[in-house]
Amino acid sequence: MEPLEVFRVESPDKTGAEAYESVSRDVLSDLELTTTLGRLWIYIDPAEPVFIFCTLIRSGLPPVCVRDMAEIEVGAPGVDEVSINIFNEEYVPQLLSALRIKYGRENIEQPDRKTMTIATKDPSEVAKEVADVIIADPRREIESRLADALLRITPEGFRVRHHISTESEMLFVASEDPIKPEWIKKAEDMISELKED
Amino acid sequence: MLEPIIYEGGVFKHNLVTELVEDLGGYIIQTNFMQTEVRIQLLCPHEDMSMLEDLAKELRAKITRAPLTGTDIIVIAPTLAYHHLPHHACDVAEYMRRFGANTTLIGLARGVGRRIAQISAKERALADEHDLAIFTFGNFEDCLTKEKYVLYKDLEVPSIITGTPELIKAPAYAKAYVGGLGRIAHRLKGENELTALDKLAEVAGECLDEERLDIAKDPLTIQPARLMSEIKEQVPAINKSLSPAPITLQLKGARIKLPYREYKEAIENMTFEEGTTLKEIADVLPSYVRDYLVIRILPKSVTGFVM
Repeated sequence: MEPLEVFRVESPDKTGAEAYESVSRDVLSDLELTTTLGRLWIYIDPAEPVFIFCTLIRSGLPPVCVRDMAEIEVGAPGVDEVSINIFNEEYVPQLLSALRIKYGRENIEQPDRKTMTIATKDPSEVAKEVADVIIADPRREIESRLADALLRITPEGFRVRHHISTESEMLFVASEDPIKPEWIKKAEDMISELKED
Repeated sequence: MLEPIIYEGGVFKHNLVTELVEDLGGYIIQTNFMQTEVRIQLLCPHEDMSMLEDLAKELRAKITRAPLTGTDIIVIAPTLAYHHLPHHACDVAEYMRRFGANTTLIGLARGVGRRIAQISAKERALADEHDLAIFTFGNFEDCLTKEKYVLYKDLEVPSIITGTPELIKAPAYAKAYVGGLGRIAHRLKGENELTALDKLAEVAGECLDEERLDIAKDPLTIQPARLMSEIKEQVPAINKSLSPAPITLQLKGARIKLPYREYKEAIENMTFEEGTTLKEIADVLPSYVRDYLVIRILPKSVTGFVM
């Protein structure tokens, strides 16, 4: 799926739809979401009043584990520590805080910029287990940015909201009145059609 | 007749402009210094404009007519929520300032939505304290024409509405409508957007001219500009105000940025060379903006004379 290969903003009010397309483009580019979303379909009917936002999210980056950014070594025999030699410094602050939470602040040291050590009585076990610790999840960050984008794009007065969000799609219905089942049905039809395209 | 003018030039010798305008019987409304530049809003007698033009030419300065000078406009957005920044209402308010108006920008507490949109009595009273209200609405014609009128229908001041669609006639209860200025999520800098802002300034100028004509039928006892210069002379505390416009001129009076309780009496007892005091020719009221004072000048039909 290409970035934003489908971008539809529909409304019975054509001028309003064009203006809303501009608002949506501004918000998505502000939040750097244009390459994250694959297909997007927004429907607004002010007379109902309802706002529907359906999108397919492109498969993004997998979570970052310790092994993706560092080499793990067990210390010399008799030394009770595991040494982490960092080769990608992008997530160092997150790594440090994750290790402190997992093994305790007093057990973590950083003798130099690219090395961290964990003091432990069972170095080989800890070396195995630390490799799979998740340091950062770009996916979750995208979800929070997408939620932010929705808040910005949705008409401010539409505070009754319904949403279904999975890893690959997001369906959002908002109104100032209680959500009607037919709106949710319409949103589901829209997302099915988006998948077929 | 006094001509509203904005003078933009260097700080060097700008006092010559101030002196000339005062000698001609005009008034300096506001002076803003920006490093080595100065921007002066002034009122100059129409017949003496050529003298001001000559001086500006000599000082390599620019003078432009600013039809909104001496007016107080409130720009009202249904919301100023942080997640909708930048608000186009901010650009609207700023653009009106370039034409000489003093603008106040507010977001309503509960102005959003269609059925749920409402304006409080306090917000309405605040809007009524100004000369003109500009409501910046959104993108959909249905909302603009059928729902949002509740926000401005009970206002006493004329309301100009802005929105995206181009409507043939203004929505009910509105004085005028300007299209192309609906919800926009970026700063207004496109050609169409700037054209719409120019159109808005023009429409605002026309609305205010109509108001001026109405006032001229029963003229005010004293001109607001003269009242301003008298306050500057007789109430020295005003010169200590840190506000860029300590006295905001309005069509029917002025807002004075001094605490109401402390200065009400001093202002009411100001005496003019004709022998009258201010309380005989105007009402001094508390403003809805902070704890300021508002002066409402009485018309000739009430006082029986014009100064």
